[in-house]
Amino acid sequence: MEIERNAVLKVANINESCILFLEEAENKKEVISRLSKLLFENGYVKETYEQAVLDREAVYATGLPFEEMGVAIPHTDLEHVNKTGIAVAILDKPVPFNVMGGDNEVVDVNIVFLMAIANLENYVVFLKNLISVFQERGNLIRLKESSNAAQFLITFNQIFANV
Amino acid sequence: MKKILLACGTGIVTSTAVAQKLRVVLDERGYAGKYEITQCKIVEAAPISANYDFVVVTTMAPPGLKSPHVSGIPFLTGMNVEPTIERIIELMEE
Repeated sequence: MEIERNAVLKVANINESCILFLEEAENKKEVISRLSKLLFENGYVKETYEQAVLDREAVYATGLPFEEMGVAIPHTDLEHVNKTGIAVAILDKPVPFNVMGGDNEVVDVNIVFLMAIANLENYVVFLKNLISVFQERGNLIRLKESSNAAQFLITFNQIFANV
Repeated sequence: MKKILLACGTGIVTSTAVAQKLRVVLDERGYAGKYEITQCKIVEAAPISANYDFVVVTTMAPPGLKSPHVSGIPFLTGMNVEPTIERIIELMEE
């Protein structure tokens, strides 16, 4: 399946100030809350977003065990979002998330992509391409090894521009 | 014609991503034109599942499904894909 990489870059709209490197986080709630605040401060989401994501995560978990590492893609309904964007947490010490579709299975997550999606068409483009890219060997490791937000963005852009 | 129900939390996002992968898999194995995929919300799946040959879910399987179900998560992660495809082919051949 063709990966529409550039479509991701158009939609993703990552702001350097929404990329967080965490040496340690107590649990997934802390990660989601901190990332939600960044999205809120940068105007991407409404105040209701944080709780809405936490509530959804409790019912429909978003942990995905890729071969190279665990990734989580928390999100929630469009009504809590002003404009499409994502916040990213790179976790030194992985944090457990429940596995999407799993029966109380848990995956240790190293990168959290908190998605604020303002329209469903963007969402589908985004998710479909993101998971395809995460399945390609080396991409997640490259992202994880970024030493700061600027470098993460460069790597992210390189991967999705297929450089 | 096999009728496949694809259910996720919203009925749109995850199931669309999985549907695209599933179509590629089925078409590659010669089932093009021999199936139709309907997407729905997971909460709607159980009552309508009897009308479908099998259900692919991207959340935990809801109680009360009236036809066989398979997890679509391997299509998202790329892990454990082969057994999932084998199971789907079995269901296509039933």
